[in-house]
Amino acid sequence: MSSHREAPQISKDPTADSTDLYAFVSPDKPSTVTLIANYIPLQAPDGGPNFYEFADDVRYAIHVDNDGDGSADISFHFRFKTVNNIPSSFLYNHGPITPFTRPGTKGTNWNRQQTYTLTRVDHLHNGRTRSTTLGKDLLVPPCNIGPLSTPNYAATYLASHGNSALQTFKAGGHTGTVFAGQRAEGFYVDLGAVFDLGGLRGFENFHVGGPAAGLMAGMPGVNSTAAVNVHSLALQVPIADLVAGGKRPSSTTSSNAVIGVWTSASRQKVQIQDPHGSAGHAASGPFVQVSRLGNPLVNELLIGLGDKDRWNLERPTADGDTFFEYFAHPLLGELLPALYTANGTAGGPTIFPHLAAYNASHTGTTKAHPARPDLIAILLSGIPNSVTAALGAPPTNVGGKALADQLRLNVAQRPTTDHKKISNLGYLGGDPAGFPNGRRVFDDVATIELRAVAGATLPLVDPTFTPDAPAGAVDFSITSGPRDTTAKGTEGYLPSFPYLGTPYSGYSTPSKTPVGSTH
Amino acid sequence: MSGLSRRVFITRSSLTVAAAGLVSALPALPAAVSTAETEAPEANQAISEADSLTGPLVAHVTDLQTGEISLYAGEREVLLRDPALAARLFHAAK
Repeated sequence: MSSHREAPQISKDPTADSTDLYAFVSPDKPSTVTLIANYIPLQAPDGGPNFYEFADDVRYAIHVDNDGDGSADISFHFRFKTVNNIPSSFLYNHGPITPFTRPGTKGTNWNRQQTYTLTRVDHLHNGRTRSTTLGKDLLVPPCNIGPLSTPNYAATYLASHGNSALQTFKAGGHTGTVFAGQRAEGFYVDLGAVFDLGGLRGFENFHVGGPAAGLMAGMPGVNSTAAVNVHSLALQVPIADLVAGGKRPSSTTSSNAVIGVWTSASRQKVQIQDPHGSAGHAASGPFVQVSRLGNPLVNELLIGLGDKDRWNLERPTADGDTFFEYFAHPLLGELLPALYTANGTAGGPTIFPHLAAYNASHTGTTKAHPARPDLIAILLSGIPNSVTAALGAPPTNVGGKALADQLRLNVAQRPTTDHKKISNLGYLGGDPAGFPNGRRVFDDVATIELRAVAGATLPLVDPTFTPDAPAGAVDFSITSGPRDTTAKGTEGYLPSFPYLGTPYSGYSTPSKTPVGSTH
Repeated sequence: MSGLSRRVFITRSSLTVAAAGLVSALPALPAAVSTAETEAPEANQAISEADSLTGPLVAHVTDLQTGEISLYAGEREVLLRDPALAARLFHAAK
């Protein structure tokens, strides 16, 4: 998965587990950038009676590096507060949660309710910070329980007037729109296949165990996350309010055109299970990071199991030191030639002979000689204009010096809105507004990164390398092709903020259950 | 100290004391060797009636021999080096 349950420790702490991060120039408001960080993975929509919620004792953050030094220049902090409006009741709600009211509203049917405070923290060059409260007591919508409890979900809770989970802010010279709450999962991947020894259903005839297990070629992929929900933190803010200098860049090569984004969750250093304290729990001390996420799949697929927990605790700048070898010489690149052979048997001729030969002659893990400089550029440094110009794409590095896992976005690149030109494969599909130039909700990042590791991006830095034909063909067989921005209609993305679809209803789970079925 | 015993646990060589009310029962804290944002407290500073705990005050003895102690209060961590206090906490927790 992108970053769902990707490390042993955080897999036991789902409210602090970041799952996906998106950053893109808003297609319907191109003077703004949309940032979305998802938490709490793989929510079964019918998972009551205590439905999913943000944690009051976690500090969620979305960070922006706007000068390429690897450290945050701006952080947006989200802190939640939960109340029981009807504390004597065991129910989440006593009736329809409508209208959408504030906590403490007399006569409310809604028992368990959350609000939050949004704070912008500017990290100043003298080491100090300046905090601006952008919103207080902002409303979180309920989980989508079903037609009796949460009727007309989208219209009720994302209304354009009155109480709404879409909330605008204007404070300290900053403006924007914010949303925090449950959404439909937007990431798509075939978990069952890929976690079964790196299987790809469309190519199982080449897998070394495939034919012996009776697996065939061309099987359709399964979108394992098609009917689960997540909790999203979403911001839409003016470009000028994020970039260095406060002025929107005029060109994709302007010195302030690239921002680096990542999300983190932090808990206070000391957690006390205190039967005499509030709710039996107390915390003390400074916040320490327990989860982070920049580019998709980094901790999931690159970092070794023994270092995954440590990776979550570190700042992105550690990627250029402590974790560099995982990016420089990833194990997955070594496994692909061994896992996929022409006759689907172990030891048979690999279908990645060029990659195998490259791997044999390139084993460097140093900064001077990394085996995979293409992956270093995509994930750690950003890609300079000298490389991206040949692709007709903008650079994701305009002078930044840091090696740090950040989702880098060139904010001067206009969003691609022509459906004949959009590609869910981003740069690999000729679309300059897609991953790795930020990440849109529909980008097929699992396929993009799989192809990159398989060698599809190596010619960008080593023109003598010719990718194996499968490197441009392997995928998870979930979309109908590069122009498919819906994963065959399974995702329900919205054309406007917050872009991720309406959360799946518990009542309709499993999603294919006929509502009127008596079986 | 009966209330204290429920809140004490020892991990490896370190000693953590979740001490709501504990510090007020101990001699005043000696000078902090480093602090996040505050100056070191004066020695033998008394607890006044106006002083009160608004949340957990936790002492984590990180090195018994050198007396290194981390104090956690609110969102702050204060580092102390006080072998005598570390020893007193150690014996109180036995």
